[in-house]
Amino acid sequence: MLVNFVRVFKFAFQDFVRNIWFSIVNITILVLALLAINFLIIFNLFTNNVVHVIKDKIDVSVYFKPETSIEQIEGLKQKISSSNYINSVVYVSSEEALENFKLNHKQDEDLLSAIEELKKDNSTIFSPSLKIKAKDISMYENILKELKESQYADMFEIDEAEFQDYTVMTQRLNNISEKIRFVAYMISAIFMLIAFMMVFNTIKISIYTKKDEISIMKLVGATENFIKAPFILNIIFYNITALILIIVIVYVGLTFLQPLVDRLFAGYTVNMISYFNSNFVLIFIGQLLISCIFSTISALVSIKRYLKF
Amino acid sequence: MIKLNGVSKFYKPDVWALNKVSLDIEPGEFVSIVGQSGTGKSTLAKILFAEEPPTEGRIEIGGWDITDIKQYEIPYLRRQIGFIFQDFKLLPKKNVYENISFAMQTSGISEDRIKNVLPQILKIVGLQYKAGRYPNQLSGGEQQRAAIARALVHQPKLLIADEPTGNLDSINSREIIDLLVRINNLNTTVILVTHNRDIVNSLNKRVITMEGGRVISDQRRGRYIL
Repeated sequence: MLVNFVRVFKFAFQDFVRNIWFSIVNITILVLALLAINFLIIFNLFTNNVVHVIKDKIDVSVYFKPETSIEQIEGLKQKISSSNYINSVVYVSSEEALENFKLNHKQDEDLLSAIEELKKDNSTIFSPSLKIKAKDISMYENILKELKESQYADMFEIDEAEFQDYTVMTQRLNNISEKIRFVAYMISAIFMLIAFMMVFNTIKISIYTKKDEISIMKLVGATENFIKAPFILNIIFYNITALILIIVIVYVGLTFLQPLVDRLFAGYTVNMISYFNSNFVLIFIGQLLISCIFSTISALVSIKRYLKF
Repeated sequence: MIKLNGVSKFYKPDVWALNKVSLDIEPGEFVSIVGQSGTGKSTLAKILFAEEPPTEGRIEIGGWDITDIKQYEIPYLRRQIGFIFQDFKLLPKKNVYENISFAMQTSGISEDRIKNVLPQILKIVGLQYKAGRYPNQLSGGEQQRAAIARALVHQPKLLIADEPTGNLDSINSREIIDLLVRINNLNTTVILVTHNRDIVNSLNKRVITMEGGRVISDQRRGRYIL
């Protein structure tokens, strides 16, 4: 049994080396197919993080009229905080709002000097507000509805603009990413199909070129499985080699991509390499298994069709 | 050793290559099956080797009924039968040693046994000094001897030779037949399919004559009668 296994392995490896150009072409196609799949994984990871960041930035601000007392604001804050939809409610006083504004517009000297002028009149430039964050983006509709229908409704104005902008942005991003994902799925499927057709043809040609050896094997009593096994094992060699190459390509690619991602997601931790590390088995062994299963099926169909016993 | 009972083989559209052939071949016999081309000799050899199934009838080899032999059983049958052809069927990119060891490897024989047995087989066929030669570096007779060596790797009880001298001159033909006789003397049953009159007449052994897919003559010490 062990002797046969070693020989099958040896014959398969000999075929792999002797038909090196076939092997290279097959491996290249498999690498392209796997590359498309890994692009999809990276793309999904990227868009998920973008959406997460955008969602994290979404909030609704409630701006109070100047005559509203701090007690009334606190009362509303308490009431809102008790809601199941709410993640956090932060009170921003007029002074804090002014400081935030200055910080955000520190480059715009004209604007800052205009603000200083207004301050001289002792007028309140920014209203106190509550920044409300929901637990999920889908809950904002309910929060807004509750706020508008509450007994305090006449004390404040709701600024939905930011929320609406981000909602539109998220929807657009989802739409675009769906389209890109669809194209990537199609490309993966096409490459996979090409890869399996290549496997099919490789087996066919391999059977043709080895027809004398196969007839001798049958003549001297080699079993059907012993004759078939090197073809299958050869295909598995292709898949393993393609996977090793794809692991190298993905990690090299991620090493170059990571600094860009870090800049893009400043303030957030999006470590693509550690994502691939922690999901290594699922991502790469999963890909190996799936591509091995499908290419083996393709090889078996070819063997059944062209290798007559 | 071999029992054929009413064996027929039909090929579409209307050819009966074998027509109700019944035979008994004893262990250790040397049997020549003769007849002109298209009389069913090679079809009979192929049926014995399970390369073709019979259309009807029963076949038994060494007590094993192979009439309805399963696909997975065929390799085990073939490990008990040696088969040689007119065109030798040697692999051109392998030398004599590799051709024979390849046959042994593919049928699961261990490396130790290959190293022990292969030189002995080469000695039997007289190729012990030409083991490193490639088929194109051998004469026709030597190529056929290499093919015989390959057929002997399982030490078969039955050796079927289908026109083994068809591509050889008379001297090489004589050498091959002498080798088959020597193998027969080692208690291996030999079935020689041929239409070479001189060889058959010189053997003075059992001769089965076929015509139109039927056995028309079966002589213990026969001659080529057609």
